[in-house]
Amino acid sequence: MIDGHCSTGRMHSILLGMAGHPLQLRTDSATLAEIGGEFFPATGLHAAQHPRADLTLFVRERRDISRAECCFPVFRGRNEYVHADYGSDGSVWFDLKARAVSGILSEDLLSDAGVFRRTVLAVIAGVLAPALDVVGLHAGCVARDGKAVLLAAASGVGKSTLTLALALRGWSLLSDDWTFVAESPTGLRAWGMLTALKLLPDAVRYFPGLSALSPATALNGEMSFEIDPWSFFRVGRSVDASPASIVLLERGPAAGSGARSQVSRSDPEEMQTALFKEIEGQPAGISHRDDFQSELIQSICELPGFKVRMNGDPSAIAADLDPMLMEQVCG
Amino acid sequence: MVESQAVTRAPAAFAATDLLHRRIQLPYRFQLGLERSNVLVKTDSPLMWRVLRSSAESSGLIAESGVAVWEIAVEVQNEATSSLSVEMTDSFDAYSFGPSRSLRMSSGSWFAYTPPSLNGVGFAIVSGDECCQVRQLLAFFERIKFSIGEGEPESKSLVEREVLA
Repeated sequence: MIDGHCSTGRMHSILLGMAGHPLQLRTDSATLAEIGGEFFPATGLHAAQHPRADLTLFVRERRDISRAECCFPVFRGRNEYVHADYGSDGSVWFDLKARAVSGILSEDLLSDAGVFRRTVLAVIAGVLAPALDVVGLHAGCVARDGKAVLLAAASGVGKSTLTLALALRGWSLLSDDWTFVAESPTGLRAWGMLTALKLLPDAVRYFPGLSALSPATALNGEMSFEIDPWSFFRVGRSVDASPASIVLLERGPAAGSGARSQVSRSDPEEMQTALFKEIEGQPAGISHRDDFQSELIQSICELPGFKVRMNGDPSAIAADLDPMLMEQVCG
Repeated sequence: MVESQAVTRAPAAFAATDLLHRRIQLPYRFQLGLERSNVLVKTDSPLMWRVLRSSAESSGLIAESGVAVWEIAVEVQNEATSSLSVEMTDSFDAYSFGPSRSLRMSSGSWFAYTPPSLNGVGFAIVSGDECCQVRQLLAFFERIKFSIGEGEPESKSLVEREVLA
């Protein structure tokens, strides 16, 4: 059984934080404890707080070293149970009702911290979030002076390139793809994750520095550059910020000759529709969370909203949008 | 009837929750009598319903009424996408998380329940021809019976083996 019986080493028990919620991690791996602590920083939390979820993760040798496994998880779930299967590299189990996460993972999977963050820790965050009253939005997020702008779009529209282009203009980068939002004592709060920024191969046209790298297969099977933007591009980082505005991004020609972007106001109903399209309903065991998600998304959509139709060089689009976004966070 | 559609790869890190098959309907049902418990098995698999029900009938294990409910969807993987070797279906891990227990077979099949209730949910991942699928379903059921304390295992879990080593 996973509850301690298969561990022969010392157990590490540390407090983690996810979107303002304390999590308790128990693991027999000092490396996992370190990576977990970086990914889920317990900023502002203290040990006396009762954890909202328990994570128990063991590390062992790969079960079958002769099998070359890719580390992409396969998900299955029923009711409140979710299973992320990594083949010979192990499994992670979620009981969303009990807010308990358990897993046995291979040393191979842990050997690359970037891969482990992306394929295990980001997965844990995403699956567990609704059980913690946190909404994961399919949105990039940049901030200035503690105020954030959410950049929501479907995959392939250009969230990551625009997010990076804004970060290169001095905005702090929280996330390029998924942003967690929750209520805090001071109102809505947005959190990013310490994961690699994913750029499609054609991004090299706009960010020539990428030409020194080779694209690799991402979690969704796409070829892409996966880079640490904070070290590679030396952009600023924020862990969390207070959302001030939300921008819906659409790809397409802007009206007007030579225009790269076209901005219009977006009403709450339109924003809700866009955000809900990317949100998964909750399993039967925690279906009451659907109401919570709806209320939280309604709150998010009360923020000033814009729709940006864009096409072309993300750096130029970022330059076009910068004054408007500055007005949102400084106004 | 809703057939299970096997989609084995996730499109994104956690946007993939729409692939969780939580909403698969389970129209096929039969009662299974174990040594100490009666179980209502719900499944989306006509094969499971036909074979296991038939097996239970021939063993006199069809119960009058079920006190526990097992919801088990079945996915058939084709050989090209299957990472499963039929010979490996015997190996399994037993997990305990909080109050819950779960069973994970090397094929990817899994079953979870929270004592003292014997109500459980799971997925059977099978491959090969119909004969292989039946064998894997029967092995999966044997493991479930063992994990809830009914029946004897043919082999112990890999995790437990590690403890013994």
